[in-house]
Amino acid sequence: MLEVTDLSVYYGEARALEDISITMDQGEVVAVLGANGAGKSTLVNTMAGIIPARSGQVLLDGAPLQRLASHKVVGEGIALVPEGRMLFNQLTVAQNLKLGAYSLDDRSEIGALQQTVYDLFPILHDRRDQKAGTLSGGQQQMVAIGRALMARPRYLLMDEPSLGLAPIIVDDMFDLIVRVHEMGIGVLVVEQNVARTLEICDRGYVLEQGTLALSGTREELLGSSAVREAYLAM
Amino acid sequence: MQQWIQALITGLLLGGLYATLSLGFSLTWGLLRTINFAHFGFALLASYVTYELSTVHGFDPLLTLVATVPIGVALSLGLQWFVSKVKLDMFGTLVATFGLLLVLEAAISRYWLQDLRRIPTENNPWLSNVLSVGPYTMPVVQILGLVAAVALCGFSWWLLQRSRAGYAIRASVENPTMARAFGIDATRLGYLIAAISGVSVAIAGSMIGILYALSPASALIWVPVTLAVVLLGGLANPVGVAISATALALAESFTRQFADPSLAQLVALGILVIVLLFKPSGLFRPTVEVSER
Repeated sequence: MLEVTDLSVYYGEARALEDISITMDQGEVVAVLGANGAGKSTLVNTMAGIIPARSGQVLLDGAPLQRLASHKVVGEGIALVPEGRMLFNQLTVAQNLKLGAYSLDDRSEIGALQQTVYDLFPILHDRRDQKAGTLSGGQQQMVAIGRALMARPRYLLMDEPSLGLAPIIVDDMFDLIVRVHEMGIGVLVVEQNVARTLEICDRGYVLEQGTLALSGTREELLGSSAVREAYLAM
Repeated sequence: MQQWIQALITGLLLGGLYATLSLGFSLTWGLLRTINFAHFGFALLASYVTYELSTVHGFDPLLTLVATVPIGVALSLGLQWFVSKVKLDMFGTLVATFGLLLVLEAAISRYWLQDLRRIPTENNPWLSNVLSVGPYTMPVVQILGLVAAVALCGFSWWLLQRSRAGYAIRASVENPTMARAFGIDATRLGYLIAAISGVSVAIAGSMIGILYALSPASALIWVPVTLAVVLLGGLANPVGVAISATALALAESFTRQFADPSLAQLVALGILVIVLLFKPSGLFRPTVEVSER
């Protein structure tokens, strides 16, 4: 169980999140929806330990994660696919993937994870010695996801994975989220593409200006007139 | 012909010293974003410790590395600790370390005074220990220095380009936040780089103590050539450091042999200015390209 309880995050005096509580378990795909500036990225970055919270907690199976140094969070099984991919552009694809597993020690396990990633994205195997910064947007997104999977996560936090991708690749991306979920990994996905996201998620939360506006199952969100008007233009 | 080959040998050996002295400066600038002018103070202190231990206590000058290397490492680690605690930006490190250099110079001139110091010949077997091959001569201690330079630059290259720690260091220079998100503890890796810098600056300093006369002001003599090596060689690029150091030392050696010896010190700066005019990024690429913030 991954939980966020009464989380508030500020940038200086500017409020980014106020009293957010969400919960998910490893068998779920959970969507976080909302307009630009609603605080979605802040939420996942705080959960990944790279932004400090002002108050509230992020709990993994009941244990608070903020007590850990930020570089220890990934070792607990939470990996981030950040907005804008944020690869190590000057390193090769293979080196990016290996660094994804930096928190692991067992070489044979790292090799097996790498094989899993190459099976998922055969093109990355062909490009393994190419600098990540020279790949196309879609391939870079594959590296970002592959790098996160290399951390052997129990929960994968994906921030705008379809942003900036060609429409044909966006379809692949949503298929991929389903496949990752089928590997037994809980997926928290932040998306602007609400229609596609609501096809694949189990539940969702809607943020508005840093607060929680709405939450519910996929069906409840699809049935909500607020969601339909604001995000689905129906 | 004989003069040419001797100048070539002398230059190659001098290149070893330049590379050893420049490597740490280049690594800390390129990877830790610390422009460490105190580096020259660390080298000077190592030189004086070598002088003191061999002159006053009768140690073999080369054996003084047992003392100078730990001192160099401790000073480099201490500086890295300070820089990361105080969170200095790159310009801040330049100012702070320049201040530290002045402090070290003042401390040295208080203890060893302003006089020119040199290990007496009877305490310094290495000055006369020369390997002769036909008509050519090579000081053995400089051959050892060249071996040390190759080992240090080679190890640094391997570390950065071939080891997991090296990927991690490069990743955390390029994108510190994401590196942390994937479990990379940049602080610990920073100490590793600082330690390598400390080892090489101590070896360079002891070599200088064995080969040259010392005065508290002599730290500054090494600044131009080091800056030239570092800027031409690409920041934190150990291979670039080795090649630039050799090239500049050769140019200096030939100038000394065939032109005016008093110009030799200016050669490095002259080459630096000319290269930067035509190729402002230097001759080699930095190990990590960082967009200046």
